[in-house]
Amino acid sequence: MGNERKGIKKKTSRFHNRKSAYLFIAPSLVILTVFVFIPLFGALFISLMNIDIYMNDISFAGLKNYLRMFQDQRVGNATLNTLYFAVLEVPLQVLLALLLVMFMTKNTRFHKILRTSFYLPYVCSMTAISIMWSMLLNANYGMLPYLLSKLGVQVPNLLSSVQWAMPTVILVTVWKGFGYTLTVLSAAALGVSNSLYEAAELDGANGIQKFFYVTIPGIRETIGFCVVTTLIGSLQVFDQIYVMTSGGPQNSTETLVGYIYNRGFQTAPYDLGYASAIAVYLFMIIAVLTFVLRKYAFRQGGAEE
Amino acid sequence: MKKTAMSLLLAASLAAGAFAGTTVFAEESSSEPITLSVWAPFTGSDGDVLRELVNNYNETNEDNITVELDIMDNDTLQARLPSAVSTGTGPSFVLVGIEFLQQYAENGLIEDISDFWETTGIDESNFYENVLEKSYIGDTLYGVPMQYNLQYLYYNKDIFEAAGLDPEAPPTTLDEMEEYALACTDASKNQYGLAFPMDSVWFIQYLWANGGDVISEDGTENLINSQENIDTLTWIQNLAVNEGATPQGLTAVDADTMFQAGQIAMYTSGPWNINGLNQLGINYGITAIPAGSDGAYSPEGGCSYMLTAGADDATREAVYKFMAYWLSDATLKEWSNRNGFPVWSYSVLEDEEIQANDILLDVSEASEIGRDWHLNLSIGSQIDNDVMVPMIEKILSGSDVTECLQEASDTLDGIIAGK
Repeated sequence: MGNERKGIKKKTSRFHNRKSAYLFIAPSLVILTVFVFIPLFGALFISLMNIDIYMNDISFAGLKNYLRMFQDQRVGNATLNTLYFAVLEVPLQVLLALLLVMFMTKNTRFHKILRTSFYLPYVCSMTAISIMWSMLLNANYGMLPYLLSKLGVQVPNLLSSVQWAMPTVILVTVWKGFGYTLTVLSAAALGVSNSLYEAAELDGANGIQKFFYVTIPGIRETIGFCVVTTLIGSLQVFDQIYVMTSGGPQNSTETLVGYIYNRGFQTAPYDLGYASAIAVYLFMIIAVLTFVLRKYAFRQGGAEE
Repeated sequence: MKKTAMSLLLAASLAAGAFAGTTVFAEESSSEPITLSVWAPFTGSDGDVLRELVNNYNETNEDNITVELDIMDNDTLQARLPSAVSTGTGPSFVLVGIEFLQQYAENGLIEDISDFWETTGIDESNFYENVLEKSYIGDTLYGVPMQYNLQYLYYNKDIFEAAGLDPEAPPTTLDEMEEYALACTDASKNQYGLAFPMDSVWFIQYLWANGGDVISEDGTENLINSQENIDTLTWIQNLAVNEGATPQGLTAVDADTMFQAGQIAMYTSGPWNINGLNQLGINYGITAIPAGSDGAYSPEGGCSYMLTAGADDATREAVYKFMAYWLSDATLKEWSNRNGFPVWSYSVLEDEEIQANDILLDVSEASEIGRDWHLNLSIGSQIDNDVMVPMIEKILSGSDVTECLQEASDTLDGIIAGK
């Protein structure tokens, strides 16, 4: 009898716990459903239709948009550009932040000011930053090429060059974003127990060894979080490219989101079905890469294994 | 997945659109207060003048009409309008480029306003026919013109004078333009004779000038791969790449900025730059696009007010009143005087103040060579974005002209075939 009561009590309390848990996640779930899940299925549905921005003469297209997508050279080009952006931007941003973490994990006023100043670009609008850098870098009237020319260095028009446009956009993106990664990594690094550093010191480790053998293993999961979120953001890159190069020159900076926008909203016949098919394709790329990274590269509890 | 969210919103708007037609609008008397909303892509300095004129209307009209002007960039406007109209959340009317009129009408985004002249009592014959006809499809009126313009050749008189050229005698032929451009180019001072941007279709007038073309008026025939175009584009490439008469890797915005900074001697643009140049005190002149072997031409452009679909009688009546206000002599005169847009009303043309405005007279004189650049083709933006801009980007980068034209021609074939 006593055990039964205990069992009932346990069940009731588990039910209450669950109920509370569901209540806590309900607001997020509603937001996710409205802004993520429904649009996701909406895009999937639209990608199977013949539909333009005016929504007249809608008909079922089946897989036509997908078949067309795989024959479209610009989708291939945009995929390569997107991967080029991600492959360079993500490691650069995370490595730069990691490098600075070595010097930033102190809570002095100087270090706080430094961290704040690195974080400042992150809170600014990407559009404003892109316009600012476009003007600063313009070879014809920009300040940086002018100052460099005074030192005898001739800078080409970086954003109009097929070779240099994408690296330039990547560097601007890293400049804007590394402050955020640095803040997250610094917070994690400050949480690593001092006793581990003391033990390492007793074993005769120098500063670099402490960083590689204590700090990095200690913040491995946070690094994983930064890599995954930065990667997802970089695969969705749009604003800075739209403002700085509009995908040019010669489509050398045209990414998948830029091409989706171009087909759906900028160029007749404003084919939303086709644009949605490319959006689904991009979703698949992001989903697969995120899954692979989480599964193999940054497994939870990996540091202990 | 920002874009997927957008797609879902559009899907939702599709469902909502099905109910839009069932909405019953209450009749309102014209004396009751009514608020109209208008969307317009006037993000430049001309937008300030537009806002002033709209505010003036709000303060002075005796019909209790308030017009709320919402200025946004053109891409945003074009992306938002279709779903907004279909869900009944769109503006009362829009002010957009006339190149959108045909597709808006075909897709049911705007109303037939053929009764406008009769309802308002405005004399249609007081306005230039070539301007009005851009707002008609057949005999049906879909818009009331707000402004009309071509592309013009702007030239810096100070640079002309310094180069030993007569500042009052701008080039009238392409040969003269080349000669003057080379005389004005001084790379050591970062000063160039011309500005050839990579991101716009500024060169169509030069293709036309030498007898070339891109597509037939009905949009069925590909005319781009011609000897005339090869010659003209080779001439452009030579000036840009070999002679260095234009800065490399230029955008249209850069060209505006450099002309304002006195680094460019000549460039082509619409009249929307006049206001800014006047404010900066630049010593400049405006003339018609120079002639080539076949004559002188310039692509036509302009904006019209269009009543969005689903407007009730009260809204229609109020929008007509605002449109009539815009067509009044005082408003058209103010717009032309402040922004330099050519006059297209006979009664305004006779105005003394207009006659005394030198720049405006030059612009009006240079506005007689207008030519239709795919205004009525639904594939217009595709021709610009997928054919013309990629082609000029490559040509200005030094690629082989014949190959670029062949590639452009192949793309254009695909567009015409609807692929």
